[in-house]
Amino acid sequence: MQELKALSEERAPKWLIGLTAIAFMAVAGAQVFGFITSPAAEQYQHSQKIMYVHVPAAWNAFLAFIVVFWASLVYLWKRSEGADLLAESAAEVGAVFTGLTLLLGSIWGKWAWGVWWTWDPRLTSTAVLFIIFVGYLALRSFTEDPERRATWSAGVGIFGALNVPIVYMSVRWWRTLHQVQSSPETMSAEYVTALRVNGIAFLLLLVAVLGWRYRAARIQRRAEALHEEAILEGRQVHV
Amino acid sequence: MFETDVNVWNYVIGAYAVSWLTVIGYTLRLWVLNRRASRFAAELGGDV
Repeated sequence: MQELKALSEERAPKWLIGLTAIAFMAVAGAQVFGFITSPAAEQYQHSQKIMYVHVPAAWNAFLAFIVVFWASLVYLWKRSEGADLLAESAAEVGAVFTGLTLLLGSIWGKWAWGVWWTWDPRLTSTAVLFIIFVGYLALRSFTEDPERRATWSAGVGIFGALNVPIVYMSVRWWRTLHQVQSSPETMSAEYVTALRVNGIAFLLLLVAVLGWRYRAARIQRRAEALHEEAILEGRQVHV
Repeated sequence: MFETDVNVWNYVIGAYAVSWLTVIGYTLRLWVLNRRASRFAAELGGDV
């Protein structure tokens, strides 16, 4: 079958390969920039440098879940397969970045607070967000029927993404050990540029990994659809 | 409050190591997923 053969031989787009290479170099370069330009903070000493990976990882997770929210709504509205695949891809990428955020926060917390974990509102709400999206991915893997899987996971995806503003605002709404959101208003000026540079580098990484995850999901789904088409048309199928 | 008796650089290096391990590990997973999807299409293409 020509379409399946062409699909299996499809080469990754050059822009995606290029973006991935640039993203890796940008992340490495941004981290070097952060190390070179940031003096030790008065209170937090050099542990402040953990912020350059922890905060961009959290931003990436939030952005990925906003993509899940938007793609899930589009799926429920238009029943678009592409939107479902994008939601699935963004949910996985978002879960990875949330997990990374929690790990990095835990490392910093051990140094600054003396504990790996505490039931602080920001930490707890982030953990809940992580668990919801791990559940989302589990739900997808357990549901065979593509339409039912897409509809159910769109519901969970929208519900999960609604937690993003709660996590973001948790440091203002409740008494918390965690610092308020990092912004030029809440940070010393000498750290703002390095955080921005690292944030942009991580954003490139987010687009690259999302692109690769979406590509794998699209090829898999297209192959399944073409195979099913061949069976329905009564062509010979060896299973 | 702060674990000043412990070198802060252990934590900083640990955090950056965790970041790179996660990023590289997930990139490898994506590479495997893309290869697997292409092979899956090739296998199905051979079936019909």
